[in-house]
Amino acid sequence: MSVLLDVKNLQTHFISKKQTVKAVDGIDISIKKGETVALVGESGSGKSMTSLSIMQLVPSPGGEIVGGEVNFNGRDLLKLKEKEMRKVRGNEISMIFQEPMTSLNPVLTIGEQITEVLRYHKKMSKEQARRRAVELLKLVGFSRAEEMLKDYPHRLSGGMRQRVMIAMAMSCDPKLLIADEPTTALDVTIQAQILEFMKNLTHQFETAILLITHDLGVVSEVADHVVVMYAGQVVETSDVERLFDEPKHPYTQGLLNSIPAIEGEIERLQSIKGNVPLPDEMPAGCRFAPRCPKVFDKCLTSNPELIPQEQGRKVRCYLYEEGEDAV
Amino acid sequence: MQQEPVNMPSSTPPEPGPNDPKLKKKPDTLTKIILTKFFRNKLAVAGGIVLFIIVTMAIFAPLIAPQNPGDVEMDLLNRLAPPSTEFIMGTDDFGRDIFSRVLYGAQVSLLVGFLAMLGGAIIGTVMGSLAGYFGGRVDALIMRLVDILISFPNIFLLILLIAFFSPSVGLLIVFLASLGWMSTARLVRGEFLSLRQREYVLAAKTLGMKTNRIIFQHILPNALGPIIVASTLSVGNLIIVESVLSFLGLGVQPPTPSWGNMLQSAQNYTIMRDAWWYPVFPGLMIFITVLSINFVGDGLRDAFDPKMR
Repeated sequence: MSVLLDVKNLQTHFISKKQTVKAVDGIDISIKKGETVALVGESGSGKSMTSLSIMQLVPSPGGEIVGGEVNFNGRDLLKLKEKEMRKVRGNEISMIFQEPMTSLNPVLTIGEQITEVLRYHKKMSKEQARRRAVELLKLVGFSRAEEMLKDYPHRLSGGMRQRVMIAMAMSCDPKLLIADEPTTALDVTIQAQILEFMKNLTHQFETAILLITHDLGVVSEVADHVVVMYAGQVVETSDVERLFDEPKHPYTQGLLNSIPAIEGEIERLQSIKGNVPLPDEMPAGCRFAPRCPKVFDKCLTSNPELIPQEQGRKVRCYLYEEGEDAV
Repeated sequence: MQQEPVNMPSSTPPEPGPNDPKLKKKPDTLTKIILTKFFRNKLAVAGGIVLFIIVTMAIFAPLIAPQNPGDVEMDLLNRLAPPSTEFIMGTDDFGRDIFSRVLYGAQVSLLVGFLAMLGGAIIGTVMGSLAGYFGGRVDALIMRLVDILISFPNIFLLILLIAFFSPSVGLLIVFLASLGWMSTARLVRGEFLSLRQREYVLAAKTLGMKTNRIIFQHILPNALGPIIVASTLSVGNLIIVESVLSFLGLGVQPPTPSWGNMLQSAQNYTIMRDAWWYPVFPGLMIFITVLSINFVGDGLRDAFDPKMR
């Protein structure tokens, strides 16, 4: 399968007079057509900023994409003018968010919000757009789609709103859907339902998904490939089975140890001690070193590169350097 | 294709089916809730009714008024006649019917107040939206302009402007509007500062919406409540400013009647002493109109306030 999105060395900084915060510090992500890639990491690791950088919607003034490439379908999005980028957004790449309760505009009806997208990108007539909107709402499981067009968002529950968001995001048949913690704010049964919808839709339309989450349970269910982020950098990339079978980076191991297992002995859950380092106290060496259980001298002085492993996996850890055995 | 979700947790209401009786009734829209709250407020409703009567009478002045101030005819025999069945508010020092002049004056005063408000609201909304949405330099520029304009005494600036040009109703509206937008701009900017952070704004951006659509279609309707309230209240203030200017001889010029210039011609000592009806009726109209507008404005403010029940 061909590569749809290829992010290379993406750097997004927040620049103020006092300091420069490197929210995204040289990220590489590659997504093939129809593939689901999960971007995993703690709060503050730069996941959301990565997705906003791909969309070029980094909060400004302050945030700025200072380097890298975002190759999408053969062109570098960072080189596009704002006007051209607007045609990409919603049309070729679209996005859904964490908070379904607030991501629909309370003063516009569901119909107005969906048809607006279609009329703008696909230049549909009012009637065409209305019919397509009904189709889309049926697609995400609303039986009374016709009447729903006239409803205001406050009449819908969180799960229903998230489905409307998905319908909106999918309205122009995007090639890539960025889902920023799409299920975090929903309760568990609805979570499963939303994931099911996303899975089916992407299957049907061959849409690739960049799934941003800190929920490894969700990752194991839907992702093909996983990119683990820590403090603005990628620390490990792997396909999903191997990551869960044999996590390599100590951080990934820590993440996996901190989810409760259903089988096996009941023991206290392990947590990763400490927090993601603040931008102004970034360690000199490996960024995970202060929290790493397997830290050794070299880690404190220099930050490792991403070290290629078997089957295309990559790990940013000196434990896996040439000549040294994995632990 | 997906089937309907079967097991919805109890915390989220199930999606109503087509036969749900609740659907027979139209859902309560926000507008409806606000109107219901407004109509519960007795003072506001009373103000609204009085205002409605005044506006209707002003519009239909040519049908109601016994005289047309346009055809100026002095009737010196009836000079300063007290209120009677023929002249229900008496006559002025030219023998003209005060009731007729009050009605036609209402046209001018309300028109000036309303159009100046509209102009000010539009300028203020656009300026405030741009400042609040874009922030940074645009914001600094617009807000410093607001600071500068707001730190001049308004009346003084108006007198100065009118002194340069010749006073006319049209010009008066333009001046009042161009000096009356600053508080609206501040208000709208404040609303935008918080609204632009909402997730639906980001969602609209990710869907590729154009900036002007986001500002005016997505954000502005959410800020409309405070704008409507502030604008309504400002009409009362504008009517007073118009009256003051006309009273000073800088607003509406006689023989066109306005409440303000009627008060001016009534300020003569002998008139004040011998013909109380001449200053009282225009003054009363200003008072009642502004009071009604303020009641309506207060009512709207409470109706738009989600914390007021």
